[in-house]
Amino acid sequence: MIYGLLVDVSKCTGCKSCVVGCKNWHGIPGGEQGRIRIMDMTTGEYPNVSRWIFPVMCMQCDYPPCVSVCRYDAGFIDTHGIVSVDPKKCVGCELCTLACPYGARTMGQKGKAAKGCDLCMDRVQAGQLPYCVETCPTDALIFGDLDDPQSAISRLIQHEGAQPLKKKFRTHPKVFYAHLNRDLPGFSR
Amino acid sequence: MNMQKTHVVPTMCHGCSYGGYNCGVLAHVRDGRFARVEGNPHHPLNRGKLCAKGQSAVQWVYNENRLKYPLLRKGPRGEGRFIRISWNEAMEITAGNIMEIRERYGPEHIILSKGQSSSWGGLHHLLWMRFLHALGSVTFSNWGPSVCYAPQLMYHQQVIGGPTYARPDYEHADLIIEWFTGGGKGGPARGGVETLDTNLRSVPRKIIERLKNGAKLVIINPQLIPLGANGRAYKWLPIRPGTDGALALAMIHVILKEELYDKAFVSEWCDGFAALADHMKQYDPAWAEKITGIPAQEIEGLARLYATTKRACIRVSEAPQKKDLRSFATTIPILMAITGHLDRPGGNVWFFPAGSLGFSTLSERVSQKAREQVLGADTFCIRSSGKNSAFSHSVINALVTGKPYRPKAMLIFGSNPLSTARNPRLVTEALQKLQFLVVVDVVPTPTTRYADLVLPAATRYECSHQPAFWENHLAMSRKVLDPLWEARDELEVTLDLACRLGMEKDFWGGRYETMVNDFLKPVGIALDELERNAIQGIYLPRTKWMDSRERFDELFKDLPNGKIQLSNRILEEEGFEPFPVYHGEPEDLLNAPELARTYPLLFTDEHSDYINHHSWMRDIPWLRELRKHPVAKIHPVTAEKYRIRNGDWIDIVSPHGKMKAVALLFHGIRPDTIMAQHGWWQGCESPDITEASPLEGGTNPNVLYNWDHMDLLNGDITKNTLVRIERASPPDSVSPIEKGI
Repeated sequence: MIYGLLVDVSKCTGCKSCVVGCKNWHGIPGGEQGRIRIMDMTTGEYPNVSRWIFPVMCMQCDYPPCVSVCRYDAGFIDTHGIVSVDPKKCVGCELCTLACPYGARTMGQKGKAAKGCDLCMDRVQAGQLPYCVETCPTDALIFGDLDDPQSAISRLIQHEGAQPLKKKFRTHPKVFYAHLNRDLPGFSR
Repeated sequence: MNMQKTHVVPTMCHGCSYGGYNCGVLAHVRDGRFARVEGNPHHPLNRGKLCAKGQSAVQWVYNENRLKYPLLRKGPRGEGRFIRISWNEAMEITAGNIMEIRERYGPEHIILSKGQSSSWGGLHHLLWMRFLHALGSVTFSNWGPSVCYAPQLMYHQQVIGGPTYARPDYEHADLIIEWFTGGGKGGPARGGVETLDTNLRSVPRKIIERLKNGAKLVIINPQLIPLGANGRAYKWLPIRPGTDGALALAMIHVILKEELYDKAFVSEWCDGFAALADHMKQYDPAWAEKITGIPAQEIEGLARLYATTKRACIRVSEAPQKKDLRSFATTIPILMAITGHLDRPGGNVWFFPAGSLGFSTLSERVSQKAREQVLGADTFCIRSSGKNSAFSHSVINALVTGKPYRPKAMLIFGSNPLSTARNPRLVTEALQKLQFLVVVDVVPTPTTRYADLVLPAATRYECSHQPAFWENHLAMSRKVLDPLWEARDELEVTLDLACRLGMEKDFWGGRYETMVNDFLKPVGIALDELERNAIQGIYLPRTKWMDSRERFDELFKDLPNGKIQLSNRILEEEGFEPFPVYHGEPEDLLNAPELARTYPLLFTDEHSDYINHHSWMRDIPWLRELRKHPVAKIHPVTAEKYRIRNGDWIDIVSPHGKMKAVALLFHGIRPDTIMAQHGWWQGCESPDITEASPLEGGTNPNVLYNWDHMDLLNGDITKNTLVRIERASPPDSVSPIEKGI
């Protein structure tokens, strides 16, 4: 079972419920970088402007630079494909935060272990959805098993032509974006 | 291993108000500490979802910035020096002052004021009205609704009747027009949709679902709101702020000219059609193009699309805030009516609840003499509504000028007029004229600086059972934790005060639960029954009436002749034109070309957004870190002209005042328009930001408007002016109030 996430951009209103919700659920204090952030950008010239708003989080890459760059073997991919950090091995050198092309690897307090999204594994193992998926007011986030071709997420990836962000980095993310502008500078290709 | 005891308390969110029917919340309490929240999946409003504000509940409750103890003013008004006193002392001082003022000057000298924080029409609202009436006063004054919901509703009801606005029936619509008018709320908050919160009636979700089914979304707004992002907008019509009335009139012109109106509906249910058609001839799309900045062919296209789409709804901002409100607010219902979109599926329909909660507010206790003396009794809106409340504009004028008399005492529950009312300088002058001012709030505000007594209110999470009702669902908020520090439930404070004033007979002997049971009585459900249904709440059977449509007989029954007033007799009797006549806002590019030479840009502000609500919640770290300072949106081409870069502090200067904001360069806004944000003043501990002044040179857009530019019938005040901008220093910080020991 390999878990993944799909962002249906056509449903996202940028309300930041996921951003603050993640901090609420995991008790991440104010001032500490959160695990989700919202991109808000425009394309075109007035009045023919399009606006694009979507969340960016850990992409759960198959080839994660944050893991390969780690000199202390702290970063690893678990059996469900989730990119994780062993806090016992991590020395807090912050190299992984620089390596991530998505800016998604975060530090807790300075000098402590690096952190990142684990797709709320504790919730998932208890039969619940990741908190951001559960709380999204417009159901723009879809979570599921990428191994199962019949899962909602697999079918959506196929039918909606969902793609990862910044494919050029070839990290093979397991977070997919549906209905995003294909020519969004810096993101789509 | 750490053995932690966790239990979950089903309650309701405090985010948008603390008395109202809000989203359902499951509050997790770990070892006696309120640890986190999640949405209640059984609550029909939010189905397990929560918005950013709701998610921040824990930081709202455990906020070191909160008011902790009753405070008595020490220094001069406005200086912010207080000493801590006991609740008993505070209540004795309050009761003593009320008693003395009532006896010496008369009950009308006691003003009660509340804000959005405790919602409208719920338990808090009714209790406070009852308290005021039992004293013999109707001097209820508020700052929000007098420029927000009420003025536009008055015009809607004059034209099309009904108990409330005719609201969009999103679930069945094939065309959704989101008409945020460049004044008032409903900006990016709430997905650009005017609702009480992000999830209320799940509006963004409903709209998005309809779009997936092929419905079209049109955004009429000076800025491209988030709802129209991500390819969702079929059209974005960037209108000049304040000119919406001209667009609506031109749409009617096209619909009449091309005979696209609903002939059967018009002949059966509308009065004055022929005269209206004649009147509308002057308002052609070419005329409207010059005013609104929207090309004539776009106006024609929109008019045709709306008239020919059978299931089409319009959402207008609840708070257009115009001097020329009359032309806009009477045109919109006419547009809905002649196209046959009223009370039909997918159009604009009326929602009726299956019941309502409440107890008597004892309004019969107020003498006719006291009613006649209520401030603003001669204004149309107070006169026509039976002199049940005061007119806020008249209250401020009376305090400042002493005419017709100067009221002596004011009790403010959860309202911050210094930030939210127009002309904050005048408000401070008015508050200083009071003999006795009590402010009850959760946090210190600019208004508390002027109080004699500041009382710490508990958040909703610290208060006992408060039932609330929506459509046919009865829900209740519950106490999650005991009040922190010495904060107290405002309902308990009010009951306590009533008893100290010798009114215990009218206030259930001060017993909270008896009051709540009385509040529940109209739906025949007892408190303990509701208590047993904590998570689900209780559903009343839906009435057939709720779910039927085309209820025209009933809806229009109070209108003259039982028909829609295309020619408005009520206005005619008041000496106004019976048809909408476009005047526009006094300070815009066409009406004030002289002024525009010095102040070349259009200005308006937007209200709440995803991460704030009105003038509160800027002290919550999780929210404040997402936006540290109030922003003003500026088109990059305009910014370049004034050498302003993204993130620069700027001065925004109108003929009436100056405010500061951080420039946010945004391609999705009209280049001739600046949009700032309302409600910013508060400091925050993390990120470390100091308080800013709500007055001149601070961060309050209310200093920029001319508060005398108001609608003649109901005092709606303009939210449009002209400004110039320049790079500037950040605002001076204001030292926080000194809370004594």
